[in-house]
Formats: sequence, C-alpha cells, structure tokens
Amino acid sequence: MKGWTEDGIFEALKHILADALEIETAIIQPDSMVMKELGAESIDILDIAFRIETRFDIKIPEQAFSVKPEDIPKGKSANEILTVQAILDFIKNRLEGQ
Amino acid sequence: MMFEGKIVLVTGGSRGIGRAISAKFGELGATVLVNFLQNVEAAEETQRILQKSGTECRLYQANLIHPHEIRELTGKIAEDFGKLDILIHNAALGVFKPTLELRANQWDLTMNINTRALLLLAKNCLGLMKEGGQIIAISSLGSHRVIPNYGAIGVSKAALESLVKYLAVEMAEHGIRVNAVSGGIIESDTIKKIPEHEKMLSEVREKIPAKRMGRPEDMANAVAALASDLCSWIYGHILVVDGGLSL
Repeated sequence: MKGWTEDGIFEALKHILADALEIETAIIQPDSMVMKELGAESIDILDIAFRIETRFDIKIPEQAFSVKPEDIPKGKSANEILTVQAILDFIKNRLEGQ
Repeated sequence: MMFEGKIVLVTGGSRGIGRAISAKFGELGATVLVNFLQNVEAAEETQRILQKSGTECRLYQANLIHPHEIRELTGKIAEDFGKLDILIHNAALGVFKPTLELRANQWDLTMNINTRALLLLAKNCLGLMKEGGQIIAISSLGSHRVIPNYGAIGVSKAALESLVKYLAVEMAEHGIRVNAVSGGIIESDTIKKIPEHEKMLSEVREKIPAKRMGRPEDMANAVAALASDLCSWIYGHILVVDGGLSL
C-alpha cells in the first residue's frame, strides 16, 4: 500500500479527524460515527476528504465515502452514518489500487 | 459576436450561477472551459447544453483547494489553447451557521476556496494572458451586510472584493482588468441551504425594489457586460446586481 501499514493509515486518519474537528485522537475508534459521534458537519466531510487527498496522495471522487443505498436509513444521508472504518477501507482500497 | 475567438474559464461553472455564466459566454461566441470539483454528471450536462447551441465547451476537473491542481489546470489550458482571455472565479463553498460557532477548518476551507483560489488563479493566469485579459470574481451582498448564518461566506467575499482591488491595480500593467460582480438574492440551490431560508426569502422579497428575486441569468448578463470592451475603462469595480435590494 505505497509504504503504508494499516496501523499507519489509522494513525494518520486519526490526526486528520482530530485536527479538522478539534477533538482528541483518543476518542476516535474505527466504529466511531463521524457525524453523529465525532461532531462532523457536511462541510467537514469535504474538508476531511481534501486532507486525505493531500496526506495519502490519492483522489477522492464525489460520494466516495457513500454506503449502499439500501443501508441508508430512511431520511438519512450516507454521510450521516459514515464511520471511521468506512473511510479507512476507502483509503486502503485506493492505496492498494495504485 | 461579442466574445468570438475568446477563451473563457469559469470556475465552478457546471451548476447554478456558474452554468448560467458558461451558457452566456457560449451564446456570445466564446469557447468555454468549465472547471468543476466533483460532480461529473452536472459538468457533462452543462457541456451538452452548451454544445447543443454550437459552443465549443471543454471540462476541466480541478479542486481549487489544492495549489498544485490550480497549476495543473492552467497548465492544461496552456497546452490546449496557449492562452486564456477571461477568467471568471465563481467557485465557492461555505457553511451556514452563526459566525461564533465556526471551527478553524470550516473558516480555512471557505477562505481558501472562495478567496485564496482567486489569488492563485490570477498568478497562474499571468502567463496565459500575455496579450491582456479579464478576471471577474463572483461575490455577494453578504460581503458588507450581515446576513444571519452567512458569516463564513460573507467574510470570505469581503476579502475577495478587497483582493479584486489589489489585483486590479497590480495586474493593470499587464493589460488585465480585474473586477467583481456582487449578487443579491439569487434563486439557486445554494440559497436553500440557509437555515430558515423560506422565512428569510419571504421577508426579503418584499424589500427588493425590482419586485422579484434574482436569477442566475441576471448574474451572467452582468458578468458578460463587465467583461465586454464597453467596460474597458472599469478597473477594480464591484458591480452590485441585486434588483436594488441594497439601496
């Protein structure tokens, strides 16, 4: 994965989230919900995506962090149920594809 | 036609006001380069609309938050056309919330896309505008009037207008005119993102002397007029297009 380990990706992502959302890295777990539990708003998802692009040198297309439509509860957006693990998986997939 | 043979780049040119500006320049004979961030579908739809009316339209995906992508964007235009005549900086984003609740990252993102990108675009366009050119930034009334929940964008637009004036002076010696068009209440998807927008709009609508809300085409018409040779002695001006609301 272009010199990255899974732990390394998680650590880097924790720092991105902590810096963007002004929270402590200690509270960030793979199953943390980025909006509901970590306090991100829609604009923060965009900011986090841009920071990931810079940190990992990857491109993130629109709706990249989306989950399957059938997994989204009625009245919710994909971002609302986004977890840290989903972002990790996306980054790993992108790095493996390079 | 007014812009025959001219190459025009519209940042954020695939939707809303940006699409209307792209269409207007196409209608007036220009080759239109549409920059967009992520929404490929909207960009392709804009391209289809312009091509249908006979306009040469090319799409350039670039995220203006990244300085290297701005360099790549202008580099591609140099390769494809060797010049740029008119740059319209319309791309903008922001968050609608009270100013005191803004986080540093939200402030930075808004300022960097709405304002810093114009500076970097202008610097990179110098080499593309060796025979002169025009830069027009899209601003809004929130730059100097307080609109609830609009602080992040309003402040970025105030900085943008100030930047326009500095660039107007510094780029004049290169034969480049820099101006801005500041819009009032324009019917678009963006306005629907403002909390309690329906209440705000019903209150504001009554106060517009023109007795109607603005349309993206109103902005596009003003941009085209300001970019035309009829305005060749206008430098560093902020043209307010608001149906008289700010009077």
